[in-house]
Amino acid sequence: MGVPKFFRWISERYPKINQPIHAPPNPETQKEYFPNYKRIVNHDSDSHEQNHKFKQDNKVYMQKNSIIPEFDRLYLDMNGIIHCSSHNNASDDNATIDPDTHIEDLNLELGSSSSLDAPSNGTVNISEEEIFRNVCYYVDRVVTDIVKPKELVYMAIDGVAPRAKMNQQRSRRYRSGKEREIEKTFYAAHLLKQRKEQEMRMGLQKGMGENNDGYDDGYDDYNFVNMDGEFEYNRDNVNRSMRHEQKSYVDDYSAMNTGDVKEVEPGRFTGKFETSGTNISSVDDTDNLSSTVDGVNSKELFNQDYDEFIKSIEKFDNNDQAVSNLFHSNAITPGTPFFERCTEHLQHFIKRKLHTDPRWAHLTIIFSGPRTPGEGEVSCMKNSTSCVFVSLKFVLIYFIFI
Amino acid sequence: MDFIRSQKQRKDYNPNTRHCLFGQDGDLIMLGLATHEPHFALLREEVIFDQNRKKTNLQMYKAAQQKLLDNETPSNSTESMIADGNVSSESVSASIDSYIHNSNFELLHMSILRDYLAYEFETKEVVPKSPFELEATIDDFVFMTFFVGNDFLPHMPAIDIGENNHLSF
Repeated sequence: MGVPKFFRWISERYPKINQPIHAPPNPETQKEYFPNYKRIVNHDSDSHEQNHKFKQDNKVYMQKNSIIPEFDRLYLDMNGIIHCSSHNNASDDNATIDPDTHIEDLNLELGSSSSLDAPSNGTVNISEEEIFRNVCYYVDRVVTDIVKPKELVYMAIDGVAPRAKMNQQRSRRYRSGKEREIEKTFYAAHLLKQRKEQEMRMGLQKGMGENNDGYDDGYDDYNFVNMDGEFEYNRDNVNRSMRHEQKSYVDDYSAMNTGDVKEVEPGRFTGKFETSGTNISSVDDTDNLSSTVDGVNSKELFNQDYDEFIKSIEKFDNNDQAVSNLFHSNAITPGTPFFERCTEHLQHFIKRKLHTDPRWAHLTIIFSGPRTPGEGEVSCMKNSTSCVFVSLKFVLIYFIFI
Repeated sequence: MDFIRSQKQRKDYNPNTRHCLFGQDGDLIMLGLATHEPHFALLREEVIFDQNRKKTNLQMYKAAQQKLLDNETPSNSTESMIADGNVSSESVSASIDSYIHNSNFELLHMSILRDYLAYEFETKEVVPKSPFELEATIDDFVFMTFFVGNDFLPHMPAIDIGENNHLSF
């Protein structure tokens, strides 16, 4: 999809429409959310030499231009913020651009064990509290430090998408899961090959060592020991790193029992494989997604899942850290427990802000949650704190996250 | 967008209300144009088109963070950073960090874009008697652009934004 491309096109064609704004985080706001955060103060100027001049120019330009006009109303696309503060979006970007360079890298770094990036299966090890805190911090920054709207802030979270969009979304997500699996298989094959190469080289060296022994020379002997020692060390290194992450891939790979894929030369594979399809559904929220998005969204089902989630959180307290900290970006969809909690948290956040923060006190906040999609008109409920929670009966723009 | 439209219908609506829309999507430009509001701006994070610069930026950020960590007394800092959830060698958390503490934004002024479009599509100089209406032209522009970047329409092989064929419209 060409939306980033579109932005690029339009800002190259009409360059003056963009006003760069340099708005470093306000220390006060930052302190509120990250009391222990050590600020990276001079992250811009504390730079590489090669970038230095560019940075300098850029900075001057930015300072000149960083007067932001006044605004009355601010509209926030919350989904974008939630996405960016929970997982790494850049990897998606790279995936579309980088396939060729990937292989070049591979060729260049033949020997090293990290020439292929380990494929992530879309899960990120981040707790929900962290995500919520990040989101709130970011919203607070935009509202109070950057835009400073005069009357109104409108926060919109996606409602349920229309059918056409939903179909497209689901196939995309399903496919990305499958593709990750495929990637994983290749990566495992790559690792296997590398491991074999290592072993072969080791064997070769041993053989050489024996030969050297045969010649029986004091000097050679010494040399051999040295080589061997060095090699042992190398192998230890490799093993250590493998134990942590790579081994699991290889194990998964053999567990899938699709050992037909082989790496012929770096970056080229032969063989056939089947995907098992079990890997994607292992994340709680994705399971839930498939059931709710269908429109089967019954309350009971939701509660059941919620209970399960609570249980999994309890498990987390019992040191079962690895499982429940995982977060999958597919959970950012109306209907998942995560989204439900996210909405609640944001509502709470808004209420708290209106009561405590003088910079928010004059604002009218409209919060459009994912709860009540569908078409109709706005029905506003005003309560005493000038906070309007709208149960929006109309469809928002479906901020298309492409 | 529906909210803005419904607000515009109201009799007490101030036509000089200044709007700011925050979001990263390219469609927002189109939707902003389609409101025909005179004071409309789109706030987005700075987009770096150059992949290499993007990478070095991230690396610089990581390095700076690492430097900070090193300057601290080891026990203290790691504890506090773990409590913050900021310490991690993973690129994921670094990129999230650099996102939420990001200090470079861009304000896309829709009014300037409207002026640009007015110049671009002005026909009076060529055909003196031709009727030209900016608002209608903008609507057309939005409509045409959605042909190029729309998920639900089949892709048109001849027209791709990247190749500037967009202009042939």
